[in-house]
Amino acid sequence: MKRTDSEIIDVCLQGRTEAFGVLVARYQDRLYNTLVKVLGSADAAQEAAQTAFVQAFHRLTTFQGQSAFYSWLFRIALNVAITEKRKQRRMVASVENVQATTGHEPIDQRRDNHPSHAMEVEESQRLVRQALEELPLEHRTMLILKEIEGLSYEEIAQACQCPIGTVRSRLHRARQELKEKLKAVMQSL
Amino acid sequence: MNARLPEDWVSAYYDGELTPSERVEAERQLQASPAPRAELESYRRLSVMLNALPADAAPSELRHAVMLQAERSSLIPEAKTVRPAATASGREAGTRSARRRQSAGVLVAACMLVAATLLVWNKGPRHNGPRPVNVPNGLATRTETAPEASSLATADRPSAKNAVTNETPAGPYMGIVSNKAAFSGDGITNGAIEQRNALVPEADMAGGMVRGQSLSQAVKRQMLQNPQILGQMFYYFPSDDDRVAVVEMTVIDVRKSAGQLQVLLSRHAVERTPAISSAHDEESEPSPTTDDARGLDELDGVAPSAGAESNGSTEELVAVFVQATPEQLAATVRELNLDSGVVDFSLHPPLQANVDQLASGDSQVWQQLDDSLSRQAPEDSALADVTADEGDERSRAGEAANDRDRSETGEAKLKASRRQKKSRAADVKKLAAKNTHGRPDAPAALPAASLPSQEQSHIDGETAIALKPGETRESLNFDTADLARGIRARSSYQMILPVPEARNPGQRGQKAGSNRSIARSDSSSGQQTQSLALKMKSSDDDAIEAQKPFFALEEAVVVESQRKAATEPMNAEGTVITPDLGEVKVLFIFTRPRTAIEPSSADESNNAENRE
Repeated sequence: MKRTDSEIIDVCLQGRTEAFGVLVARYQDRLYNTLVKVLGSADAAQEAAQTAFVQAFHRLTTFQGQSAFYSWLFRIALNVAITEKRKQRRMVASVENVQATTGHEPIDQRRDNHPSHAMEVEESQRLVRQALEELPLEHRTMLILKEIEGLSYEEIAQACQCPIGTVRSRLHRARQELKEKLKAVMQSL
Repeated sequence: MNARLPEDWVSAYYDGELTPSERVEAERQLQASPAPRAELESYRRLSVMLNALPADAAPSELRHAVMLQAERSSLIPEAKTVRPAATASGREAGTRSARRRQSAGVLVAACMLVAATLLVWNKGPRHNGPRPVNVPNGLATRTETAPEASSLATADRPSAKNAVTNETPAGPYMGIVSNKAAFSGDGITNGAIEQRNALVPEADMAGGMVRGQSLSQAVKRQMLQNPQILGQMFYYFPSDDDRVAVVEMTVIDVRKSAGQLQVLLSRHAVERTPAISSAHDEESEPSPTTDDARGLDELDGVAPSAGAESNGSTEELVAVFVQATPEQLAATVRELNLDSGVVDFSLHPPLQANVDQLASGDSQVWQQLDDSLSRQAPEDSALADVTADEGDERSRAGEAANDRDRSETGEAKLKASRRQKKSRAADVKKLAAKNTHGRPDAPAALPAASLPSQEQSHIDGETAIALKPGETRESLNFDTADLARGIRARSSYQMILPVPEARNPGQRGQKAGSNRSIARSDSSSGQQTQSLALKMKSSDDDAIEAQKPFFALEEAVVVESQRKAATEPMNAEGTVITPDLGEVKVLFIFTRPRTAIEPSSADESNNAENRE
């Protein structure tokens, strides 16, 4: 039977610290995927994810269970990422870098095996990544949380520790900016 | 029409985040005007593009790295940036300022620690004015031996207790100074303060310095985090000695780490020897995250034991005997630390053992090993025999002596320490029993050696060792975590060592006890130097006599200090070249961490408050 996050946390707090590994396994892909897109770098995402998990481990006693564990974890990860981002000022990350470090080949969503189509998809994804990276961090973060994570405004507000109104206005601006940057690509869709 | 619709309504409508009344209004506007409809369509396309991005799966090693780092940092107090108890204040918003204050405090303490550490590492040149070019950079740390310090698994052996002597260990280039440093539960005595202040500028001592922070642990963390440094300790083991160094490695998975050690040794052309496990399955309990049980199953001469793997409750010792050059050992340990992570380590006094028998896992030798370890750890044996031994006279005497200075927290820690010792002693016995092929008549416990009591071993005053030309002594007295916990510490040591600086081809192959001679002679051509800090522990006089010139190193650190010689350039690689020594004999004992998350009573109460 699959244990709930809360049960696992209780087990951890009783001294069975290895149980935390279950939570890591449960959320590492989700967190890492989001962080790669927020940070634009696989290495930075891995580092941030690792640091976030470790910080969560040490702060387990402060987790109140009012929000989902993942929201809480992501908030920690976001703080880590923002801190790191500020430290670095400008992260050197390119689309090529991300692809090189993650080793991901573009996925052809329409399962069209035509080589030229695959190249088009790849190019499209490259442009989307590039456009995302050019967005301000706070706009990019909220857009990814909404579009990829599927969080509600309230959950985004919790994760980013800002008012819901701010989430709404930033999401709007993020979409406007991204739309402008991807005008050419969008026309081809 | 569209102008009447606030800008972000379309976006919010697309996300389904409008209120019902807003939605009605938005839909009316959408029907009336094509512009918002186009905008809505553009958002849909954006969503398609964003969700078409490939999902990035976390690297496979992430989980392992997280657990390793989490365990490490929970075992090394300084690594915890935020203590749960301090942050567990409940209301999110209301605690923000408190967290800031706490973070600031942690930051200040961390900065002080780092500053003080750097100060010590670089103290020589700044305080002594122009340093002679050829002065070896012997760095010594003053460390206090806490009677029953249990901050980490390293202090389990009672041989680390306060059997203090002013006897100078052999070795022309090694000196020891024992200083009185009688610490009270609340801090340190004037003598210690004076000594400390003499070494650390007042500015760095402000605010109680790093009470609660242990330089020793910080240095140890440096070592553990820098595998290059960790391996350097093997260069200080004598190679012409028939005794066997005992290095205890605390790792997450003893079997896996021991297996990795053997693999790595093979990779470095070191002959394999059988590994011995003392696994037992008491207190076994299913784990929700039972990790893979790889490891010793694949090893030579080791039968897997049920319930021994990956169980936080299981205490298991695995020993591997190695005879190799320091370079081989350093490289092996470096890779071991990189691969599986060494949570902690400690060095025990060397053993007298027949190497051939030891290498073959001969039962008699393993019995001897048990014997030796038990002699070194008399309380282990005693405690292992009878659980009620806490009431015996010796324990009572020791407790009575310490009770004055012990806080309640200190007592709790000490009791926990004793429990750990019991477990450790039981492990040692099982280790021996296993390797005597389960011989039922094998001695269950060995008589405790007659270590002097703490009072007997205490030395007042100082014994200063004159430094030879070219030697330096740098030291630091520090308030440690043990002291902050109110545990009494009685003695301190300084060890002075010249440091190996550069290989001298003319002296290759020279055997020690000349290793220190090499270091000394090489120091004259040093371009880049290292500093070695050693925490020494002593037992009674006989033990010290027996340990000459090996002595008992509890921890060692080589700190790179990049100092240019005036006459010769730094080597191109920027690495320190160490003297070439003969083979040394090391018995690696792998143990699991003793503690993980240890919520204090305060933690628990806060936790209870804050859990819903």
